[in-house]
Amino acid sequence: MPNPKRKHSKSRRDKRRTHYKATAPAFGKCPNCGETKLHHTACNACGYYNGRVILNSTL
Amino acid sequence: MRHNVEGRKLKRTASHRRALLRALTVSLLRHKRIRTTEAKAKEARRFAEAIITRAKNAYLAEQAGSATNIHARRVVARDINDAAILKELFSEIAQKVAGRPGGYTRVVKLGQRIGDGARVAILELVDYNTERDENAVRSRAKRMMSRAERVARSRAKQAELEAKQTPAVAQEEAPAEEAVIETTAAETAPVADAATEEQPTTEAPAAETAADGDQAKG
Ligand SMILES: [Zn+2]
Repeated sequence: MPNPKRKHSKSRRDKRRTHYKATAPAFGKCPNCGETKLHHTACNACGYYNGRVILNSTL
Repeated sequence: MRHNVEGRKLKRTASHRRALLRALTVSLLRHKRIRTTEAKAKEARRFAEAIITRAKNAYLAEQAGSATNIHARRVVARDINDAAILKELFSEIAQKVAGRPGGYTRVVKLGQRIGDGARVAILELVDYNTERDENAVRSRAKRMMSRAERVARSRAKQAELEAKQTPAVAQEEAPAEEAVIETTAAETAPVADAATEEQPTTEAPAAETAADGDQAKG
């Protein structure tokens, strides 16, 4: 089996990794209370999603 | 290879997975609303819907006059290891979902959990969680509006506001108390409206309005 002749230097390794980037999640506004929230997710501030109270004391 | 094999393994063996899904389903039928991880909620949904459909079909046939479907009860009892829940499923729950062609459950995502970062969700029976506030939903008309339309609408609203505001600022020295009261009332209502509905676009025009007001004074 063919094998690498040389070890990749730290520089090459790090240059490869310059393209690894974290992306920020997309946020939206809660139509009920106006807080910033994740899309397709119940609002952490008011507990509403699509007009329903999702988060309450029992759950 | 496991290409296109449906369903999640949930890091469990087949028997462990079956036990988990049964437990989740019994909990769902008992409490009508459970909180679990998103992956488990979505798997339990598949599992529970099939069981509820079987109970619903048996219930509908029995309502139409056929004999009690003991076979269906036995098949379901393999997964629902609780006599009381089984009884309720074939009576009250089946009756509630009778008019529904599937889709008895709803999954609502809640975001990530603090401890392990797992995505959590609520799994609930649609017919037992019906209350809904239409005021807390963006209206269909608004949803269908393009961004350009929304911006134009908000600009128009803002212009209208400014037109109302400018004469009031010019007459600030005048002793007319009534006029001041009127304008504040007129201002607050549309501003509150705009703030709740058009957050992203109102900020810039609002700043402009403040600047205009300063100029008018100075
Ligand atoms: Zn909210």
